[in-house]
Amino acid sequence: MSARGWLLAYLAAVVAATLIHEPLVLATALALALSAAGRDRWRLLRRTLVAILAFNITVSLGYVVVAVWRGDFSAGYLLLVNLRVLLLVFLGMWFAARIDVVAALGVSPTLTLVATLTLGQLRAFERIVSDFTLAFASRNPAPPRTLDRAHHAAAQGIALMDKTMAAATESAMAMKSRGAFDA
Amino acid sequence: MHIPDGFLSPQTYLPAYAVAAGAWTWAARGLRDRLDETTVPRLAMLTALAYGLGLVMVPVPGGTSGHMLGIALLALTFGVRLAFLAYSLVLLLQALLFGAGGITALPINALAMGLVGATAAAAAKGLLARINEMAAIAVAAWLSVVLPAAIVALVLGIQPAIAHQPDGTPLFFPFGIDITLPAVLIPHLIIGIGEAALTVVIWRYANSRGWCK
Amino acid sequence: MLELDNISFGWPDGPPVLSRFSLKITAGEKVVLLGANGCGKSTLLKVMNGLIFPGGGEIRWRNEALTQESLKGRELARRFRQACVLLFQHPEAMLFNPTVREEIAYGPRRLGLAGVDERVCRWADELALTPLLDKAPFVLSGGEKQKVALACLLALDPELLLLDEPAASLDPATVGWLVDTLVQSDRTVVVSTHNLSMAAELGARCIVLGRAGEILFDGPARMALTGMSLLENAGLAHRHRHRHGGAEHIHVHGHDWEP
Repeated sequence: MSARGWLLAYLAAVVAATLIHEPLVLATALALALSAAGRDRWRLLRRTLVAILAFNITVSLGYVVVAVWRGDFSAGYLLLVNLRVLLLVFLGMWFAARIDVVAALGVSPTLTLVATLTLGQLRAFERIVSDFTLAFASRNPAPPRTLDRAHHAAAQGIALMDKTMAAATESAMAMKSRGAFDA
Repeated sequence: MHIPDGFLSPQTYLPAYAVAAGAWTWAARGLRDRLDETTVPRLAMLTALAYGLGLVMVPVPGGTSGHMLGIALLALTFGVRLAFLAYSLVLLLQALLFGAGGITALPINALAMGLVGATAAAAAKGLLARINEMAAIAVAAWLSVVLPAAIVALVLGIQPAIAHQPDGTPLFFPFGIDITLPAVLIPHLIIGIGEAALTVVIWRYANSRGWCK
Repeated sequence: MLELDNISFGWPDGPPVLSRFSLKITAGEKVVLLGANGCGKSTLLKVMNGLIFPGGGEIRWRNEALTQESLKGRELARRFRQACVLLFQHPEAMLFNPTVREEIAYGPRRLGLAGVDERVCRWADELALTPLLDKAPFVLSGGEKQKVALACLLALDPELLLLDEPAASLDPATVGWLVDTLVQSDRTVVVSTHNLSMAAELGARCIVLGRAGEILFDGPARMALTGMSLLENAGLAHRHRHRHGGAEHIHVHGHDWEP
């Protein structure tokens, strides 16, 4: 199946998972997804759990407190919502890991081009922020004051703006030089 | 405000996608009129910028920090349409590429933060700049955090009402507006202060370099 | 002074960068880390500066274990961060204060050191930064930013200076000044570079890293820099066709492309 086909299948699966309200069906779907995911399954599952843990625990505990106090607690709901979230986020992680997203977005050549250019620049920005974070740790022998953290955040924003403007100009010139804008 | 998939009902996200699609078409069409060779690279770099700004940790009064939103900065520097499209693209890449999830929350986040946030920021600046430019930027940034938070709180809060079992048990997000509105909005009133301060500093720099609209 | 004992490090979801790597730095040494781009020099320096932590093995600073946990202790963190400093390859990532003056003063102030203003003036003077003291760091050129970053580190009076590709954005005159300062000082210095002539001037001891982050050579700099097959192996020298006089031939040599 093409990348675009997989994208459509993923989207269909997402919609389906939100139309089904039987925990058993969702659990079966999750089991099938796990088995189909192959060797990556445990790594993907771990990443899924890390991604959803904080929010789900907060919502689940909050629900327990509020519902018990109101007298309308349903264990079935807790099971349903957590299974649904687990399934959906796992599917998302699996899709992202397996499919060439840029190819899947090939509906529009402009979109593909923007996505490609963006992804190249994105990694550079991740490195910049990572460097800033490590450098800040290196220069702070004691926990930094709020004002210093604010200065630091501003410095990162300014550095990112600088790089964005420079990169936009460079990228446009490079594309022009390679004939991308010639009729 | 990363809502994992599974907390929004199809009755919410499907119509939201329809509305968002209309908004994206409007924004893209507006750009096409001024399309030149720099538009595509600019949009790509702005998308990367929107993503990068989201990595910056903003100290918040009270001792914690949160991720920067950056939509006000983008809107005030590059305009609402580009800001909206760039932000939407970041959400798309995060959902599909990084597996950060949120494909069902995407239209809500794009409309709330990308469109309403950007428009509120631009409107606030437009109205208040003649009184005091820096205060206008600060208010714009604060609104760009608070208004989307209110929208997200509302959208989450109506889930129990629009999607439930016959006996009233919720199927998606379980809390009503009476809980979501204060729970989501109040922290964002404070978070918005950090965003406002940061946006003012960075905007001043961008302005001094002549990059602002 | 600093000891790395059998450490292994890999970025999450990535291949290992350092595998069972061991290294001892003694006080007063001038060490050059030579290696091609991507061989793990920056990663190694960040490990040495206690910013990222190995998955296996141990790091010891003056016989104290350096771990993520131990560096949470205020007292060790203070001592270590004053004594061991790192100049990043992209030094703009190090700067965040509103003016150059505040930037250089930041470290000493946070540590409560005496004579902050004197330190600022001294190092601004040494690095020809005095006219820039009231400017914002982000308006400076790449080379100026690197000098400010260096001043920030030297103002702490550190014992161990780690420098990641310091020649990258500096003009030749400042590189010369830097090399002289480092050679003459009694600080311990570890410099990473792929610039062979800087290595020659700086280091008594040269550690050549292979492409997989392994140590190919650890010994006197002169031996490392004349071992052509060693350098070729490490990606620091190459064969290509060129002309001497009228004849064309191929042999191995290194280039010191000025950045």
